[in-house]
Amino acid sequence: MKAFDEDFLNKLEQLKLHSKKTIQGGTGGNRRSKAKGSSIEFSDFREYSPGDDYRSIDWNAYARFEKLFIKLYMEERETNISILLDSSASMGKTDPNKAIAAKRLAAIFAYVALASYDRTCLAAINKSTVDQVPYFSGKAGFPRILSFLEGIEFNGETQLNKAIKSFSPLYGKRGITILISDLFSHEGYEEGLKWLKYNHQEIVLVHLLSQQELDPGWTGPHKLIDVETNKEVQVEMTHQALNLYKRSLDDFLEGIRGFCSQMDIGYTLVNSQLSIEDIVFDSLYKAGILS
Amino acid sequence: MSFQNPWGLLALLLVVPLILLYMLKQEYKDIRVSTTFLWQEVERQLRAAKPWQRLKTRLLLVLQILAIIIFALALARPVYRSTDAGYHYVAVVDSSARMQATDIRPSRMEAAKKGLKDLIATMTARDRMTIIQAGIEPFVVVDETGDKGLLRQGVDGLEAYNSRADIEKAIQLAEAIIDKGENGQLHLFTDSNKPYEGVLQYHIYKGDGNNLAISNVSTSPGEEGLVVLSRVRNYGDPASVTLELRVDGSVFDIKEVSLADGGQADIYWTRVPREGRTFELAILNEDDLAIDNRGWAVNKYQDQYRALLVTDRNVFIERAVGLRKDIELVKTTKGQDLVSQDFSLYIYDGYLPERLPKGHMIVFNPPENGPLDLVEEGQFEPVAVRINRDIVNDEIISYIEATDFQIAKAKKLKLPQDFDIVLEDQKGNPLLILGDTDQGRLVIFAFSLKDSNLPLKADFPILMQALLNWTLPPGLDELDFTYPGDPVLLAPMLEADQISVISPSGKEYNFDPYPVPYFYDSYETGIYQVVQRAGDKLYRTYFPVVIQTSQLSDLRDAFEEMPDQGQQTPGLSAQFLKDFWKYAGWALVLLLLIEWWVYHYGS
Repeated sequence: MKAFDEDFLNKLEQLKLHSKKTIQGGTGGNRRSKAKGSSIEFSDFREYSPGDDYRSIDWNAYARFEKLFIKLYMEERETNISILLDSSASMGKTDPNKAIAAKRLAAIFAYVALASYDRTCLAAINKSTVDQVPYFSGKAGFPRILSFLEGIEFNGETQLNKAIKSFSPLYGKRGITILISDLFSHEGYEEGLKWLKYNHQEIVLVHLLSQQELDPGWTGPHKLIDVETNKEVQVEMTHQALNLYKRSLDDFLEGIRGFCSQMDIGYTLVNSQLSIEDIVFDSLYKAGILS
Repeated sequence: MSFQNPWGLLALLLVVPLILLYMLKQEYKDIRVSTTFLWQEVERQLRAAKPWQRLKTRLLLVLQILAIIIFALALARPVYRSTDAGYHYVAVVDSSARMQATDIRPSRMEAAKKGLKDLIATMTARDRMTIIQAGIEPFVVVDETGDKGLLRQGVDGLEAYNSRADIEKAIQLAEAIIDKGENGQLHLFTDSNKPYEGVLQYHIYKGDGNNLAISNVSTSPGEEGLVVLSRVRNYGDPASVTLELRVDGSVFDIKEVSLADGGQADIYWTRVPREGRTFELAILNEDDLAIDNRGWAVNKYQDQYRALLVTDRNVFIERAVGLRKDIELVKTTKGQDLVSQDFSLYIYDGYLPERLPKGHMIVFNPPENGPLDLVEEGQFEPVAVRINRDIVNDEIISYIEATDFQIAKAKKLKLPQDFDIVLEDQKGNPLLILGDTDQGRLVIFAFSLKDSNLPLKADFPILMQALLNWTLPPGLDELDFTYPGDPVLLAPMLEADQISVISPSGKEYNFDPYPVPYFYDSYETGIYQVVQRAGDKLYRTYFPVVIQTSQLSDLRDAFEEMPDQGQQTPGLSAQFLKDFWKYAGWALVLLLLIEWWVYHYGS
């Protein structure tokens, strides 16, 4: 199955990335920032001070209060959007649908960001940054994103904390970081996400799991081999064993949801088995990540 | 407890592969997964529950072994019995000709033998069995033994004869055997529903067989050759019957006749060659009992005795001798020299030749001073003539009842040693004597028939026939037929040196002519040949052995009601066979359900 077909690209046109917070820094762009500026969208008033753009003086207010007030507008600024795609073996070696879904999700976010004239960066990470497309803006650069995504190979071990910290373009820039991962990181993910927060990043965590990971329907004795570490676990897939796995998975997801809630991280769980429409409308829209 | 099908216990061998399957290490299927860290927790918890898992595995193994045991028991069909002491089975097997019927395959007898072997298979180590074959006479095939091999060998040797079977007699023998011991059981293997007292269990093997039978074949002289009379009966569905008559082995004629169910037809075959010796009639249709599809007869008008009667004319003697169809009577008058010819019997009335011939003689009123030195001079008047009932050859007087014999005068006779007196007077003077001499058998009437009222009595022809039969026994040809297994009295000629019987299949039996022998091995049907050797001469006679169709040919039994199973006489102990294989089957189903529940919900 091809990750990016024409049908997929047509659907992208209608999407828009929703940010809970306004973003400071940078210039231009379609994203509303906290900085009150000269855009057409009215925000507030303040007293005139020398140096202000006299075109912003509200003469009606002056007539009423005999003081000079200038209109303040929401200044639309460009935002730094960083898309981190977990490219470890666990994301693509066991289920081709999961790899395709991961790439498509990255493409969706990149397209929406570029369409909003945000500065967009895309990086493939496993235990460090494997490869990246530096920040750029404008939809014209989207093919470059697609080309990058198509070249990604899912290899190596996941070490999210280390990988996130190794993503240097973030340093000192506010923005939105979207992490697409299954979070199967043996050393954990919390430290990395905290580091992003520390770096003024609004975080969107797209937790991508395959159907097999959500509900393994196996029976009989199985030797499970970890695709990243080659660790083996022998399990007799009985009713009891599957119940225990379900409980273990629920605990794992509950831990992530609790952490995200605590850290004000946008979180959604995506089943890679679903169609792109179901992912966008059932997962991303409902989670308020896209609008 | 015993097993009706001990081979079913072989299913217990399934336990071996089952245990091997449990012992063998489970083969794990390799699967590459995104991560194992979620499964590591599962494995840890499963390991914590392993003691129970091991117990569960053992429980499953135990349940499955139990299931196999019950399955094997169900196959082996165990039976409980009321006593642990061994039983003495006495099996009576009907070996009548009807057991040859093929209306159940391969035959009723083979089915009965299989049934008997099944019974042998259920015997425990303590049980014994006696096998009795019920023929004309009962015969113990295998005496009381627990050796199953010996019993099976005995069963293999059983066969249905061509004769009838006296079941009653066999059951009497069986009961006598049972009465000697304890826990006896009488099993009857037969094809008849007829109930018998004392039988514990009937094993009946019969179908609804169709059968055609030749019930009679006989010959009689006709104007143009012999006439063969045959009777055919249908004991089954209406049929068109094809009959073939063979004379001395060659086909003479073929006829067809239609017979309704239960119908019979008399078929006459005329212009049959007089010189024909043996006649065989065969039904060419196939039916369920082949043995009665052939019948035989012999020409009894061919060989005849020759007797010489020397008398002035005595119509009483002529007529009395003329009753015997097999005696050709040659009459002559005194003085005619016919001694040079061979006669089987010489009858002299008031006369004796100078030289007595060699052969049997009947002498009436013998002359004094003749060649017979048994006559004394003078005559007497007998008073109160009576029959001597104490004679050795009592068959001569067994049918004579008259006591008012009158004799006007009689010669005085000397009584030689070993001679019998048949008639005597009050004083014990012999009036009619008989006995064996070197020349042959001799009968002497001490008086002339003209001086007695004896010829006027109804007893005279009877007495004469008895005397003729004693001197000239009826030839074997006069036996129209006999039934298989019935003893045949062989009546040798006086001059016979050796007598032999050749069966239809060519088996030869040799006998000494005296004492008069009986031939017992007449189980084969067909024409038997009797050959008597007298010096250089051979005399051949024939007799047929035919099936007793009246008792054996109706394969559909007249006794429609099945006899009660388990009818017993005092002295027979009960056997309570309780077949519990059905319960074993239900237990198996229940066990499998428990096993399924433990496997799925055991945790």
